[in-house]
Amino acid sequence: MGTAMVRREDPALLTGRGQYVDDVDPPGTQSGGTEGSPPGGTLHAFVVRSPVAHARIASVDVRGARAADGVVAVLTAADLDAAGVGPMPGGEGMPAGALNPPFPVLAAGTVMWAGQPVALVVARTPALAADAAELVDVTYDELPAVTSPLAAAAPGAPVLHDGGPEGNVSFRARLAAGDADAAFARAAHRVRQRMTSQRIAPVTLEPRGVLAWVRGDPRAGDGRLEVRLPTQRPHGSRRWLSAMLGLPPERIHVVAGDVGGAFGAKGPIYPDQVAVIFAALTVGRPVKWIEERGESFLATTHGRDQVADLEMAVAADGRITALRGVVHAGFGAYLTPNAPGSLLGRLGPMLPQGYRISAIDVELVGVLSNTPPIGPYRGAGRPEGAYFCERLVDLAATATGLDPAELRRRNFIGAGEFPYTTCTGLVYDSGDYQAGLQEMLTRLDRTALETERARLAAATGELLGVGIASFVEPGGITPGAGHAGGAPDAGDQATVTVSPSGAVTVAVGTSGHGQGHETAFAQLAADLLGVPCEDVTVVFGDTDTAPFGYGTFGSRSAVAGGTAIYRACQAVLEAAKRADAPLPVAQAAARLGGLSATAASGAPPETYASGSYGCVVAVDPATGAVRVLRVVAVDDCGVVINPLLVEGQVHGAIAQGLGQALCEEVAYDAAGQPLAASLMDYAVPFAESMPPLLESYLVCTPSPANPLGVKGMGESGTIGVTPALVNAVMDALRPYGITHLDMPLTAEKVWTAIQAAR
Amino acid sequence: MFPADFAYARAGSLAGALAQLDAAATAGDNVKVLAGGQSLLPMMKLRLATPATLLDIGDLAELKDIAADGGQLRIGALATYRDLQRDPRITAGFPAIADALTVLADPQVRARGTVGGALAHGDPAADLPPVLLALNARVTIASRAGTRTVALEDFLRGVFSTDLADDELVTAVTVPAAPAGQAYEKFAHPASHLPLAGACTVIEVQGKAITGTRVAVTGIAPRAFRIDLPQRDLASRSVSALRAELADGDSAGGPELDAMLAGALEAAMAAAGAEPLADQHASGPFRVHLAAVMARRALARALSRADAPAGADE
Repeated sequence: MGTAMVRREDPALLTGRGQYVDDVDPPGTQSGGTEGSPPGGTLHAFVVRSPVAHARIASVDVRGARAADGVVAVLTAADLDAAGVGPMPGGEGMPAGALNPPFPVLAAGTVMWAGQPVALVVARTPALAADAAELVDVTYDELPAVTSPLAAAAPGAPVLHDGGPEGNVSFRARLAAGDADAAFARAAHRVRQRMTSQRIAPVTLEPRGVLAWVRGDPRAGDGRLEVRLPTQRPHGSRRWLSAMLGLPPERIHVVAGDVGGAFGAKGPIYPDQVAVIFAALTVGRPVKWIEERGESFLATTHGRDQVADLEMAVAADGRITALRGVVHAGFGAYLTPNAPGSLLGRLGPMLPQGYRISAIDVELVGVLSNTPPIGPYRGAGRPEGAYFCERLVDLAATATGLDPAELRRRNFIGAGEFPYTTCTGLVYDSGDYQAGLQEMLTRLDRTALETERARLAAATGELLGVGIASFVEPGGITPGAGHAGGAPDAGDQATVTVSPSGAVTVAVGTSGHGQGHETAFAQLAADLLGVPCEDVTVVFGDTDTAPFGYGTFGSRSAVAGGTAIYRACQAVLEAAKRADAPLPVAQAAARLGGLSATAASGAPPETYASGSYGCVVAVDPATGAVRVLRVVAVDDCGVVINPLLVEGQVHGAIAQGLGQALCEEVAYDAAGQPLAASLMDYAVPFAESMPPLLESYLVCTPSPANPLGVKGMGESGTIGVTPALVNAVMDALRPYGITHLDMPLTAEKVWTAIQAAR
Repeated sequence: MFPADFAYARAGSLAGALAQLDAAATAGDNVKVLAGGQSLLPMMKLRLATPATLLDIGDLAELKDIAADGGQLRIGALATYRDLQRDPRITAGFPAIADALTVLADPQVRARGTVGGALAHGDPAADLPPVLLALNARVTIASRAGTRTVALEDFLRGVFSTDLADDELVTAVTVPAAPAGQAYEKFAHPASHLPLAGACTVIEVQGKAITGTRVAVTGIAPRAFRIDLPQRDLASRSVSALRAELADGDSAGGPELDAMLAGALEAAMAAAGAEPLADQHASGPFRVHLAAVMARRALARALSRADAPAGADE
């Protein structure tokens, strides 16, 4: 542990030997892509999607498509209804009485967003499926559409679904503790700001997809449904499919295989995937579907989409005494499983961040609109909560005249105050926020930056900006007892097997998708068992070979999977000891004919990583362009298993946070049409957008909440860099009296604000 | 990303290609010429273009030559961006073209994309057209009926629209000798990295006087276009006065020059009845402003090159 080992998964992935879903065919078959290929080859699906944001479906005519060359099946809602398939899972953890409309697999009666699946064409080749899809004739009677959460919650907005208590509002929840109004009445300073965390797209390198086939007749209790699904949650997906298809879980085998990035978006299962799996069951042949890049902007969940109207009360000495206001969160047209949880369990409760704030009164409003469903996206509520708080803290610094770092220092929860229960009911395990901030400030060197500010202005006319942000990141959540098919309170499982040859296999229920779990978990087991790392093989992502797990999301795998592996390794060592077998463990296994143990994580408490980030930017007043000169990242994620992997997470997350801060936005026109549905229009950061050096440093306060002392940290860069960057740009614009601009900070937005201030 | 069905033909000679185009035009067949394919093939994969036949002219070696004739350069239509980048006659004699090539797309696209293809495509947000416009380039066009030459100014029409008829093929671009004072500046679209606004400036200097200025811009209107007003405005300045004004850069001299250039751009667009391009990243008026800033910066760089001894850059 603690060694910067290079990722063992990379050689295969970097030399094109990865096995992504599009790389595989069912055993014994080949793609049916050529004329005269043998019957039984893999068929290919194309999804017919709604071209409009909101409409009644007047008619669907699939006769032309069914008659087209190479077409094997065309499915619509009627076929799924007849088989009783659906609805999609959604709305876990929503408050009682919330509006959670049934989410159909294929649209029936109405379409709710531009891109919603309406029909599925299955043909011999992908091209033939695409050709035939053009022949599916759907008549839409268009309805007015609404796409932003504020507009959708406003009276008179077009209403998507019947049966809600308040139009498109799914629920209103109040997060209250202490006497916020009294604190505001007493406050020397009150800062208030409307802030947007705009809707953004996950943009995974590998788009979504699925390949499904049947062996035997699983519906008759014979054989199985085989599903190759790039997912973060193999066991959870099996459970969802079981419920939707009416098959027992043991008749479904889910394999994730290599997954080319997910960032939360491959946590849910999607209607297009379910339709493809149903098609494979129906036609009895393998069916594959691979999402196109443009399609992903219409069909994959988006992240964020919140508007916060928040107010912070600050005493004369800079103490933050209360938060109040309202946050409207867009959910899209239907609720995905964790949409309510990101708002109610993450964004809201994390608003106080690492500060000693004793009163809060915030209303959290979930709103439906004519847009793709919102899903988890790198941080899922954490970056938004931190962004809103850290922007307000900077505004409070301006109001009080205190240095932004000093204001944070005066409000941090002290290193001696842990475990600390926040006013929102979270129990922070450990931390030393002062130390992290101080380390960052030392590295940043704000004194030297003042010299640089003058030099830059003279040299290029650019305005230098320096911004900081501190944050707390919850990680390692284990969903509630019995959720998604898990054993109550058992958590995730790991099986550690030492063969008589000394080879060790670690099978774990947390399913990685690019994070480096094969490397990290091998290091962990090697250390615990006292064997060379090369002797350890890590297995996950397959419901046959991996024991139960909730999957990988919410920075949970080191905490939950790591704890399960720790316990399984301890059990193996105990077994050797009980048998009086000699250590090291390889010798014991040789004598005993092998050793194996399965253990569960037992739902360890969440961990709370923390960090302080500094950003330096240069703003060109002639164009409004923002250049990121430096990002200084100081993270505290407790005990580190592999610092190289931690750094990799920080780098990637910084790129994604920088993207939200500067350029990314999923926007719609008045009719609900997306303005960007390709990478020619949707702006992700390029390598050249990143600062030349990524300055990533670690401090460590071990977590007492799990036996390894680790804390989840997969989102930290996204959480820290977004407010730090916006704070830096506002610092650069201080001469113009500009105090807030909403993300993304495009050149036009910055230039226009400068012009208005001149 | 699967194109609709299409037929594929490979031209063996220029005459053969022109005969095929002629026959297709007569029959009303939808034939598209495939050169580097860097714009056409993505459009086909998105089914935004659905030609019945692709006529691949990649074998026509006679269209790949870059030939110098005095200071004039004749660039074959099939010369790739990379061919241009590696040609010392371009890098030494036409630094504005070199500027554009370094910020144009990526190495893969530059290895395949061709000069003729780029012009025939008529993309309103492309890097080379403003440079070639400012350099007074002419386009050579062949058909079965013969060959004609047209000024690039008259060749470009509008969004994906040019003077090229269905039976015609761009065979070459001719660039006359140009002064050393030339440069291209670009503000890249954050997603596509095509120019949100790009400007090329060519400045002629004799002694202390500015004797000519040509400015052409891209990315802001349905086609790249030239403006002539700055020449009149700038000619009233001496070289040293302009240099002093430009040296103040964005802090002092910028806004005044920017406003003058933006006014000229707006007037030219109004005269042509051209609506500014706009998308979620940049409105029309902002693109015009950006083009003015890029033109001013190109002017500063062109001026520094005009002063520099041959072969030396700033």
